[in-house]
Amino acid sequence: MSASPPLLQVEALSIEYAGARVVEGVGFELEAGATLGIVGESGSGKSQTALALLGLLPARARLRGSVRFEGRELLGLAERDWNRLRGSRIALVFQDPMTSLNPYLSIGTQMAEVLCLHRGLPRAAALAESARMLDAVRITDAVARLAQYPHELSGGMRQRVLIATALLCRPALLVADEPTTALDVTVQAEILVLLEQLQRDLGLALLLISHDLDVVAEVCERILVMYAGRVMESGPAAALLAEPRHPYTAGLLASRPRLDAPPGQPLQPIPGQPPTPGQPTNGCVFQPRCGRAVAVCAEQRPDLLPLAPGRCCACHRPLTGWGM
Amino acid sequence: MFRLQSMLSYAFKRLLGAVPTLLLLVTLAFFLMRAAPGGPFDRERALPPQIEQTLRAEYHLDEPLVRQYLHYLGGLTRGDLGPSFQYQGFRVAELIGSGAPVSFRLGACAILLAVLLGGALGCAAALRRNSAADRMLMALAMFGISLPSYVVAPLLILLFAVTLNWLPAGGWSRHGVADAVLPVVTLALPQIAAVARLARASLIEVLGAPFIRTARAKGLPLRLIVWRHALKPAALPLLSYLGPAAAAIVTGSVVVEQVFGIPGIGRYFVQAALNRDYTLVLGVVLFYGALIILFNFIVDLLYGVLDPRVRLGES
Repeated sequence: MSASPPLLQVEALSIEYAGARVVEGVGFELEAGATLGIVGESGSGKSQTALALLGLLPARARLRGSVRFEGRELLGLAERDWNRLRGSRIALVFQDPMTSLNPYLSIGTQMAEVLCLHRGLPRAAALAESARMLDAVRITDAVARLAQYPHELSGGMRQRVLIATALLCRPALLVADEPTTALDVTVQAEILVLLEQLQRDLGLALLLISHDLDVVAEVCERILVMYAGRVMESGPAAALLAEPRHPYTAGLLASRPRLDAPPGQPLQPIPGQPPTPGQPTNGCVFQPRCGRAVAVCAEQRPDLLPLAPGRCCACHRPLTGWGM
Repeated sequence: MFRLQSMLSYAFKRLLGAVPTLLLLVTLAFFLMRAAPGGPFDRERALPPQIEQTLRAEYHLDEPLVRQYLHYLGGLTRGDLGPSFQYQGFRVAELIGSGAPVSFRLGACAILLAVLLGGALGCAAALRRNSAADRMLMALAMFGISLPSYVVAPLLILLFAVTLNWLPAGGWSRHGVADAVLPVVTLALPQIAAVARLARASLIEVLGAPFIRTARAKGLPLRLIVWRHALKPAALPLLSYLGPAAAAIVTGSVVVEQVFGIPGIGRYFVQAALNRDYTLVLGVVLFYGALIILFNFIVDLLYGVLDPRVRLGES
């Protein structure tokens, strides 16, 4: 296992727009068939990171660092080479199923074109394969659905179609950017269960991106917490949730609404606002909002350091247990 | 099958709905025309009273206005647009019938040219957004829209007919296809420019849509993304513009037909109004109105064909 390089290896990835850095020094690894969740609030750079993995950032974006996939460097790849990877080895599912399907084309056309393109299948065979994949994401009447248009399907159904489309070529890596955010809670759960099951059955590596810690914790083995374009903390999901080391992670956990909380207990939001990109900071990016900040936090940026086996944290004063 | 049936019933309802619109149009045009001072037989030198009296009686102008109006409507129900006041011995229907095919042919060529050339230029500009080529094209398009045809037509004649002697300066049916080139270009130029600008804006908007990002994430090359995913949605706003524009163009341009000496119906528009040729004005207005309704109807039908979310004939 350790001899071969991991499926995906991101090192010191930085993304800049006209001098404003939205992602800085992000690094992680993902083994084949493994799951990783990236959590952060909006503006934390998690979606930018996802787009960078597929080369879908606008041309204005300046990228640095390294993204290695199946042993091959992706940054700087020509568009033609990107197109061979996208939809074939790496697939992406977007947040909004309502607008992510082309309203003018039938479901069948939008699915089959992937197989025609990457596998050179004739249309009839591609449609048959698409129907099988719709079955796999548990859409009933799969053959009839192929002739339908996106507006004839519900949001949850459309997200299933998008997931099925992403999986048509059996990619090694599926990146799901907030795949359940736009859906009803009950549908959310169904989609998550589906993703989890497909990931196991097909041996996919899954990179799940969400603002919702609970969603990520349900599906992923490991979690990466991002804030203001930087990695704050990473570790196994269960350990990270049970015992957050970074004050930001602890803040996220404390601020989420919980049904099992005693009634009347107020939510605890993290005070303040995330910094705007491009704002120069010497110290820790979270320091202005951190209750544990001391003088050094404003002066010196904390490095992402290993605290325990498999756990890293970028904090001068990491928590050692709940409430400390 | 069900779709065809609902489409036909929709078409029938739409055409039925056009009747009150056209009636309103005719009524307004009729009374507005009569409210204008002067009449068809007023000349600088007055006609002898007896002759004028005879003429007025001949054309029912001596009857009360409401009677004349009802009389005209009665004619319309029989498909009769009445006699022309100015072109004596001609029926209005004859005049429109002889001029319309000429105007139609010119207009159709101009529209076709505008869609093909304007569409291609607009797409090219959209795909090279904010490049030097894009900016130059759009500046040219702005210029093309702003230039009135009474400036373009003489300039074209000066260059291609007088100086280069490549094409005839005017006339119709003497030089075959060559006769049509300059008028069609004059008619098409502002339309090419307008279509190019619209197509560019429309395609840029569509290319920013989330479903285009999905298509990119599927690994589709740009050529396929534009062709299969973007062109159809980008064409829809263009269609809304082209319907009424086509109606206006195929009914002929006063300036172009005047400058190039073309026997279309565009000339009648202004001349008939100035001459108080009541029936000819009404006939041309009615014809134009019917065409606008027809073209908008065609656009709606095309929307139904192009956009799967539009289901015609269902409320």
